[in-house]
Amino acid sequence: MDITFKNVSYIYQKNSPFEQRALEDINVQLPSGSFVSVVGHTGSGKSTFIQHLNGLLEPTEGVVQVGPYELSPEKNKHLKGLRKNVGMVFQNPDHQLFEETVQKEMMFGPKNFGINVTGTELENVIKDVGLDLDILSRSPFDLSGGQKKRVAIASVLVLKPKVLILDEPTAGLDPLGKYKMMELFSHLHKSQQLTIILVTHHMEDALKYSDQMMVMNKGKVVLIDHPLNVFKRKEYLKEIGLALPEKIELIEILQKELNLTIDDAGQSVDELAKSIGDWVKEGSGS
Amino acid sequence: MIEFEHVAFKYPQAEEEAIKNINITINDGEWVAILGHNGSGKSTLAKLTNGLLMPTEGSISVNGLELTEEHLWKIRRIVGMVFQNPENQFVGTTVLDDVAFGLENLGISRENMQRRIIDSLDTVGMSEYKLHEPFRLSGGQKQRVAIASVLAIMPEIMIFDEATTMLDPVGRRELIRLIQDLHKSSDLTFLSITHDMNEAILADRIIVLNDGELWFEGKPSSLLEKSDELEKVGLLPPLITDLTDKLRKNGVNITTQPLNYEELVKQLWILHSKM
Repeated sequence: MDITFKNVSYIYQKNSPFEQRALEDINVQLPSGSFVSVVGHTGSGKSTFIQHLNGLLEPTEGVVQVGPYELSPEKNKHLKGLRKNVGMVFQNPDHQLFEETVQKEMMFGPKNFGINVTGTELENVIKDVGLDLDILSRSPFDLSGGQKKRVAIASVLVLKPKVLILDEPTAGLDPLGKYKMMELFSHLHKSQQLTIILVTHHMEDALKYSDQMMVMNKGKVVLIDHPLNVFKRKEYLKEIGLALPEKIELIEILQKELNLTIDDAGQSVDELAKSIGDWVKEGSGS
Repeated sequence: MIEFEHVAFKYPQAEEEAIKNINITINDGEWVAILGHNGSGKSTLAKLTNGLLMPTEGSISVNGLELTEEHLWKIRRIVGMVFQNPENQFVGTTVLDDVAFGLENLGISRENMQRRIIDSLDTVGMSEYKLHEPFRLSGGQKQRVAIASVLAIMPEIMIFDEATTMLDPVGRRELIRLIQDLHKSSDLTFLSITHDMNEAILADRIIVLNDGELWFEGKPSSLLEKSDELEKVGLLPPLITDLTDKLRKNGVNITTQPLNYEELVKQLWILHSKM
């Protein structure tokens, strides 16, 4: 589903002394099947932006178009259809889990939307997110943080959404769990052409997985481009309180300290090791 | 000094022990990082240290005081804790009130209290925010106020239970720098529970838990030497180690395990100039 924002603004508590413009004249086009990372400092408008994608918020001005669904200040009739197609996974899984068993938890959404889910489909989703089937009979509240997160994702995936919105999905997971979770999203993106909108602080993940990066600052979209191009704007990113991925910092150090010429920041660690290896072997004696 | 002797802990309804036969000693002034996968027992270990949980087996002592009901309050004066989510520990309407709150029951003079509040906010670089509402601060600032509240009580041991986990990279870096500074400038003992390898390798010593058991205990560089085994326990090597491993595979003979890029660059130049 293509996503288009046309002159979208959002104002919290409009016409009150606390009026606050959280989004200001947003114009973006995110084509169907893309993997977009949304980054920005706390309070830059990221959360407000993603809440417009499934109608949790409706624009104060402008129009949001998600596939056939349109959200505008006036008419918003098809929210149910929109929400069935746009799945959202929150940062804290405790906010979305509430049933007695994992199975009931996962069937809640489908029941609500009138979708029939077979036992096999349910089991496949559980396996897709890297959980064992015996988890279905357990209470979601007795699970570890990582397991809860996977259950929350599974209960969104079971609705077969076209767009998946992920708000800091790996916060609090251990390093291997983080890696596996990101690989899972990448796999879903590739195998099911899922459009993924990832809100993240992890610049490494934005660089590694996304084909577009959207940088927000003070309610505006200030950069939208391929991550490699975004990270070329080092000074600007620093100015708006954003960090660089460690790999790009490493490349900077190598360029400066070893006078190595490495121009493509998209290099893998293997390639970097090879370039450095060649430099070492070249030696200074000749 | 913290001593764990044959410590085990089982949650009431759990089948398995969360912590199994742990023997560790944390020395005065030391900074020890605790790593481990989700559910490995890291947080349980932290909660056992200040008596939020009591061991089901074995004994724990803090500065020679055995962890019992009798010594509980004395131990909590010695051990301060900073949690993952600072919002859970805010009670005051201003930063100042918040830091003052923890001091109110200690029976110290008003003058002394004021000095401690100012000093601790100064240490964490938050003095100019003393009249701000804690809820309006950024994540990193909130954590610094939480640290100030603990510092004001003047503990001897500080535990950071994933205190940097929820922060953005810039806030996280600043907080880690603050911990480094405190470690250098004070006699405080630090126990930091974390998922961040880059943070853990700054500590004097690392403990890795796996399924409630002690899997590794030693210097950061020794842990990084075992980089190919980390995945088994839910961890991944940091980028510096991944690169070092791959350089070695490319025939670059790096002998001392580097903990940062400066150390790596130095070794690379030596190797380069020998060619």
